[in-house]
Amino acid sequence: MSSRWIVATQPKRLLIYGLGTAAILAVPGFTPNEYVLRVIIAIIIDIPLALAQNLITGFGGMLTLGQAAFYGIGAYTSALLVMRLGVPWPVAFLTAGVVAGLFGILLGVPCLRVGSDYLTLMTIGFGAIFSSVALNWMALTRGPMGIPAVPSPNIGPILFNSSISQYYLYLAITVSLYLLVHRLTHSHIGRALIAIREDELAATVMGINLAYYKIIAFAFGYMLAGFSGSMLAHFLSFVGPQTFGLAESLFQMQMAILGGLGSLPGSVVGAAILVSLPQIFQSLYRYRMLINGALMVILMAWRPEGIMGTSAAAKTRGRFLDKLKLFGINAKGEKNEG
Amino acid sequence: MALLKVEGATMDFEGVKAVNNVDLTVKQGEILGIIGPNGSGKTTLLNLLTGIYRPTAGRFLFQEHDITGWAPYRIARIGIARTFQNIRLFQNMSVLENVLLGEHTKLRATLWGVLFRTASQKQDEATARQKAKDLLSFVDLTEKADEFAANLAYGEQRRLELARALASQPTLLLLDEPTAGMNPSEAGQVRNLLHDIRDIGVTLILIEHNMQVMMGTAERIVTLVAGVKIAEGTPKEIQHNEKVIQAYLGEEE
Repeated sequence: MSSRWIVATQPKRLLIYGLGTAAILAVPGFTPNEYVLRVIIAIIIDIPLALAQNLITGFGGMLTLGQAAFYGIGAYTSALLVMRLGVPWPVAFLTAGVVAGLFGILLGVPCLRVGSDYLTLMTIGFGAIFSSVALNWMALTRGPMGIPAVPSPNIGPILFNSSISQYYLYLAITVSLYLLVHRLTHSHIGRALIAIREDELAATVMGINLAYYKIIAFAFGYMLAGFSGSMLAHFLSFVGPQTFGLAESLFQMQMAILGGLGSLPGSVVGAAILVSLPQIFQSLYRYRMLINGALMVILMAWRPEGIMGTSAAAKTRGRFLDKLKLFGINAKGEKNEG
Repeated sequence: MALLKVEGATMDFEGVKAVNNVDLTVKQGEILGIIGPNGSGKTTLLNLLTGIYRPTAGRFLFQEHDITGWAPYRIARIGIARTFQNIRLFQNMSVLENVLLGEHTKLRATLWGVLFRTASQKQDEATARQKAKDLLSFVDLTEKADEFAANLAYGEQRRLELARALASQPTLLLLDEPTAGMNPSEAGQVRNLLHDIRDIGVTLILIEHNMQVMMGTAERIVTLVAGVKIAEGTPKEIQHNEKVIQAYLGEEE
């Protein structure tokens, strides 16, 4: 690709970016009702989750299924800080991400000592521990009753209590997080993670400290999940333990896979499709897990690299998908009960 | 001056001594060859040197540092690079990215620099890319820079591995059969590359079965048989060494 070519396409690119930005900013003006706007906000909240899973699994090559726990940690941290300690929302939001990220490091350290299959089991285990803590630590989480009446976000005197204002606030947050992940994955850190996924031995001989980069992926990914959790808590005004089980972890994995592991725009597409589909086909809501499952099977059969994934990378990712099928069957049963 | 000193290196795989009490000295700037029949412990010795295996006994001294038992990434950082007998490229990364990976130890950008795209990080990355391109032209792969490594022809993959290893600007480069499976013209190309690399000032340890390449490249040759060093000398001396001839051709009648 010569530099001349880039220069020639620059105005066209700018135009596309400009139109895209304008369209995204104008969204609230075109939504037919509040409900549709709230679905779109739900997508915005879920995009960092898909990105986080993508960073850890698509780039780092680690098949984890406990991300919902970090989503939950973020949600509880943010809600409790604001409600019990009267912490300003921006501080609570940032703390939610940091706390989730620290728990990510805590989980990551023992995970480094085990091979890939056991890593998956350990992350599922962590998710189960979180669920039971959230369900049983009445004094902190109010157990199954959850925490109602979580206030809307506010920055000083500016209160984000309408859906439109929350749309812009969360859009700004998710766009910023996307940019950070983009920078991370398009740097030597992203390259190191991909190299680790491709061939650990060769990577370590290149001078890459495997532990360091895996921990970065865990810490950064789960920090994003924590931010999403905070957004969710103040959007729904409610935090309850049922939201953050294994089924939710699987859902987050599905978003990353459907969009394409290793592709950041893919994660956005994956989140948009999987969050909106059950809403669009409301009459089929009872069958949503059936449809999601079928979607995954079709995807694996015909496009294992995901919608936006690159085909050359599909081979490596095949083994994760194989494993995922095993877990997928159990989890669907569980979500139907809940 | 000794760049690398190996003292009594031993690797015991549950009773099988793959490397048995090997002493070795590598001088700055030389090309040291290691030959021996299959299974004589040549690759195991490289794996010990690069920290992939932890030796059962012995000491490894590199530029005055005792690197015995160091993790592979630390050994890479101190200036020892290698290639693999069974090519280990990052298949789903581009040719250029593979070389960039090799430069990993030389990058100084921090997590902070990456997330906030600081000027020094951008500068660092741009320099790294330029160096990677230079290296690709050195091994004659400029046109393939954007291909996936997996799509390269066999000989090209070997050359890419060489470029990737050089990218870390190693003091000592370990090459495990760089011409394996190549036709004579490809092997000749690699042989020229090895001389070029030595001329840059990189010290080389070369494992090679192609005797033409070995005898024409190495300045000193060590012979291993069943994990034991049986001979050491110039290519000429080795060619006429009774023990070496016996090991390769069997006992004389």
